[in-house]
Amino acid sequence: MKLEMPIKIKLNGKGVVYKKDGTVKTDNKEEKVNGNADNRRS
Amino acid sequence: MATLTTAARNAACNAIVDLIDAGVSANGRLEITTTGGASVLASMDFAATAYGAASSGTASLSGSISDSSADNTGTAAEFHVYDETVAAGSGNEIFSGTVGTSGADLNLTSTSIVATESVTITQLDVTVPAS
Repeated sequence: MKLEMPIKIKLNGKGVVYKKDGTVKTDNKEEKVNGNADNRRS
Repeated sequence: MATLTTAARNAACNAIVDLIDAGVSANGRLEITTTGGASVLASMDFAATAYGAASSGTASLSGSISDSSADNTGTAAEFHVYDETVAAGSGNEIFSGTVGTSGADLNLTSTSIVATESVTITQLDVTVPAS
């Protein structure tokens, strides 16, 4: 009789990285535009 | 197919997470590192009793754990859980896993950690599946 039951644990973790200013840091590359449209075109 | 009962899953899960509390000189420790553990980016202590009792084969952290000032700058790729501070020279690794932003064992809002930034782990469930 063969009984194989290797225990493989599953991990489910979450965490937050905060910037030095205290805001949440993400890897999303969102471009923030400062200034008016004319400046962006120049 | 072999199957574990819920009682057996809970017992196995509790046995695993209780190892984190077994360090002789300090609380359990979690380290977030770069690939291969080359650089420790952030490190934090577990509570004296790191995990609550398992239910339905899953044990959850006793509470959030954090490092208020990351040790180094780099890209997080792995985490390692020890029964006490490794620097003490006697820490034993209990388990480890991958770090990413999705689909990893530990998903952070960003894998780019800069020294002195703060890192908080809010969840690190350990599950022993039925089969």
